[in-house]
Amino acid sequence: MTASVKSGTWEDVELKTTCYGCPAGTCGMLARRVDGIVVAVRGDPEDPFSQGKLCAKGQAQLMMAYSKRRVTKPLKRTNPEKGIGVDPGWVEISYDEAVAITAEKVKHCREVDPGGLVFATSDFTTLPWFLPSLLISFGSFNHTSGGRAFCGNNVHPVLQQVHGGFHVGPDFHFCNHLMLFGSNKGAMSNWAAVTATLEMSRARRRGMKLVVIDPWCSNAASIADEWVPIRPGTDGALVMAMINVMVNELGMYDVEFVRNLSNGSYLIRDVDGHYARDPATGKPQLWDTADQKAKVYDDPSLAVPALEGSFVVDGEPCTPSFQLLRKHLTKFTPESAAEITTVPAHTIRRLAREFATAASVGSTIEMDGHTLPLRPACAHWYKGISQHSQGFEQGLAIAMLNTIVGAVDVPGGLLADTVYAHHPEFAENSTWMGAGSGMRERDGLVAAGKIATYGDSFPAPFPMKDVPKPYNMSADSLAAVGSYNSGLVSKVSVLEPKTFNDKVPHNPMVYVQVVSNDILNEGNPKQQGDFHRKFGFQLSIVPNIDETAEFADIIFPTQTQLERLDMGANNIPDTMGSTATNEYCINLRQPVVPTDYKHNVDIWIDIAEKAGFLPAFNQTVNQFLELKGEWALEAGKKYDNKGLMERWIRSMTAGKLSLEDVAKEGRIRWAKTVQEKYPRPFYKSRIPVYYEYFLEAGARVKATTDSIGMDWDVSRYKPLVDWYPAPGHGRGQNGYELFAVSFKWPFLTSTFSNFNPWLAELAQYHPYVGKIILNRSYAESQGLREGDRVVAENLRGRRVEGVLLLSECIHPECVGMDHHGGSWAKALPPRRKNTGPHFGELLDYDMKNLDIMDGAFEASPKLRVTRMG
Amino acid sequence: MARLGMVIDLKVCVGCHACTAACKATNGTPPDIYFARVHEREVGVFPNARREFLPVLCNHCEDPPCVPVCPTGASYKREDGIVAVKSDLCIGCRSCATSCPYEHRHYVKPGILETGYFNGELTLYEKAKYNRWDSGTVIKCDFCMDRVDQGLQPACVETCPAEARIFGDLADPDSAPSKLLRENESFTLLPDAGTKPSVHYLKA
Repeated sequence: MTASVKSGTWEDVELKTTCYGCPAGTCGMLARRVDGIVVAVRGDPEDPFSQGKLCAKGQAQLMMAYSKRRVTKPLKRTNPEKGIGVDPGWVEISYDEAVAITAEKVKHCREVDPGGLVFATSDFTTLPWFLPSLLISFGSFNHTSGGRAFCGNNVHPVLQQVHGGFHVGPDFHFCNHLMLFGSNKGAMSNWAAVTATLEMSRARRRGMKLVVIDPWCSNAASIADEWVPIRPGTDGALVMAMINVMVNELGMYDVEFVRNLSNGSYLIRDVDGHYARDPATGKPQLWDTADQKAKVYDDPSLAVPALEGSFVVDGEPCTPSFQLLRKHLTKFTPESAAEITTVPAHTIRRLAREFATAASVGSTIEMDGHTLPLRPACAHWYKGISQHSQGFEQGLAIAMLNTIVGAVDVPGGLLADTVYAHHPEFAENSTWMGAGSGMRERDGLVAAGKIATYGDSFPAPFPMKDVPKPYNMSADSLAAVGSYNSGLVSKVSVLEPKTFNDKVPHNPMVYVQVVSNDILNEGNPKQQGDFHRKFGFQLSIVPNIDETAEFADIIFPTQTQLERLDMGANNIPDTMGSTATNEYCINLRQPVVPTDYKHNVDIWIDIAEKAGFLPAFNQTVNQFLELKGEWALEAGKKYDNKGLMERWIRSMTAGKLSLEDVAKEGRIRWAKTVQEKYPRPFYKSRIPVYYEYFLEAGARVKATTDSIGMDWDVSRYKPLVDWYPAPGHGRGQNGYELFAVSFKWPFLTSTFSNFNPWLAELAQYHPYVGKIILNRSYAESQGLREGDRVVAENLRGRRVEGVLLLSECIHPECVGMDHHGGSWAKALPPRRKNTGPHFGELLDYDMKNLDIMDGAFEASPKLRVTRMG
Repeated sequence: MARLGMVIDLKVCVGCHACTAACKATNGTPPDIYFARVHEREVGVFPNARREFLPVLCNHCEDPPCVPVCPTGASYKREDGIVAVKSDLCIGCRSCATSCPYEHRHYVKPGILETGYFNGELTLYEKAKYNRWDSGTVIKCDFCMDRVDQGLQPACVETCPAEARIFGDLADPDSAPSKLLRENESFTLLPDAGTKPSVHYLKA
């Protein structure tokens, strides 16, 4: 008897994929599909990130794939006038026609001036390889992403200099005392949010103390052991005072770490502040107290370098940099910091003592046969610090708090994520598997690892770079110790013609938007609109017509999470090695529902083919995906996204794994070794406490800007970390006495969530979402009452309206509102449209608000709040 | 006899609403109906203040006032303590909703299952999910009893990224929730209502 089985139409299966409810796209997910419809999702218990958990945004992904508000057909604008609220006059066109129109514009731009194209993407999954491949093959260097001005502009360069990494996280496994500055780490925000929340919960259950410094009682502050409200933009002053107390009052810091693993023992020439270099080798020198001689930093006989004293080397008087730091610190007394920060001096002293005590300098831990330092106290910072015009130095200060107790990349401290990843079998095949991993150095100091520079496509602050004349619209080169400038300067350059226009390449022709939404998510929309109107042509590749896509000339619909195929779904450089996991993991996002839409990479491949630069694109894909040998793309052939993913996997695993193999497991994962997780004790390169090379960086920026007649401030290029007032600090604000502060909610991710009716509904029922929040005592002193309709207005008269909520959970000098509200796109779910104030409205693009060190953007302007008449 | 219940540890709950959304996604509740919610309120006075998160769901009371008031027997308590509704018996009188001091009974307004989240055009997901509800009846959290009967955890428990929710048999002294209740200070909501909730909270 023979039998054959034909499967029926019913099914009930769970399929592996990866979440994309936030730009990190970290979490392994299982999608339950019944009779062709995905009816539930859950975290994949086998995934080291989600560990079977998902947040609200992840759970709500079901609503995105099946949304009835998606753009379903390519659209062409018929109304040439562009503006907020202006009807674009969309007409549906065929896919081929949309490709043809776009290709013609793109081809023309490439022929006339490739630097006229700006590529804006918040598709962080493809960003590490697709962004550089596309731009470089096209010939443009203009990249940005919606909201980049609020991203890590001044977080990443600090981390690259201190950890060698692009991202960091606390070592939740051993940390006993965590300080968060303007960060919600562990409370469902930041990269690998689910993992961090899970690990922080476990850490707190075993007794980890959490202290949160923030003007707003964030979710993290709400569950913390202590919330320390602070005046916005002054965290750096608080931290410098803490370090002063630890070093100069208590003597509680890690002397041996400072001596041997920081440049605190490098000799600085009194005459010019530079290293006392050995004339023969050019290497920085230290003073060895063992035999009273100057020696280069890598001299094998170096025994006990001096941290204090005055020395004469080669006829030049010199001082160890740590001694200069100690003296510099004395100006940051807790009393003076109290005036700046509003945190009482006795609290600052207590915070310093508690942090230093918890760091337990001198303690060690045994791991896999190694004796490692155990420093179970660290500080983490993010958006609240980053979105200031003087955030760069505040980040440096917080990083130094960790350095001074030796809590950098050791058990219990703050850990870099992916830099040291090294696959035991495939490490040599690609950067993503670990080729070129580990510490790079110059002058004995840490330099960013290869993966921390996205395979060297983002420049790192150190080693010092040349500072050429600006070569892109955002004048990236002028951020000599930044990572990227692009969030802001390209827009400032439109609005500050005197400073920029004839000095910075500026020929706006084509604006490309790939699921990023700068008009909503950055500063004042009127200025954004002015910027967007400068471009002759805008292409938008989006699943939903958002505020920025309303300015498009051509719209392509694209896929949502459940439809996509992405290797490296979790944005490899950022989250492959979440510090809270014991494993490295590269996740695969695979389609679990049928789709009529194309992946944005496939749309671009069609455009590139038609515009004639596909051969160049294939070459740059080879470069950035590191496709080698038989897996390299041939210039004359056309491949699709799936083909690229197949070749990527095969190339990085030397042919041992295929897409099908990875699809079965859902990921490539491997255990971290103790050297990978805690690299600091295994490497000799040092962390700066004295940024000597800033002197040279500032000089180079000055020389370049002088040569093109550009007025550019280089006064902040100083070796010793300082604190600077922001535009809102100081007196004379004439009734505009409140600092604006903004925050995010754990269940919203701006445009990623705005089009989701479930998340919109959650927002609708949330007591704080969309409200204008004032401290109760302050409000009552002004005669304002709960529920009043009020106006919050900045010094230039730009204003938002909203409903007042009185709170005990906000600093009395602040007016708070979330950074998700006030969206207006026509296609939004009604529940999400025009809900609450639009925070970006209050932010101005100008030089005053620019963090000149790294392109970040001041987001704490002074406001006044009045009842509506 | 088992008595299924839950412990919610307020020390670690970060107020992220993963539970709210997981419940929505797993159960496919109609618009504006949430079996799981997270309340927030402020405690203290600046600067010694904070926002307090309180995740809530049906308490699956030992003495559920919603069961005896049901005129048709639609509302019932299972032997394992789960309080549920047989929708084919429910006539939508809402006596149960009136009797529940916690407001965890939800009436499916006529029309809402056709309106859905997209103004009258149901998605494939909604078509698949709304089948389980009947217009004009009362629906509620049933501790995801279909899942529990298969040996799984309720969706809100499974997804909680802070592992703040611990589900199990309160009648079993060795169960995880029983141990937590023995070792920690805990409370239930509205104890004066005399309902004997099976959802307990550990203090923050």
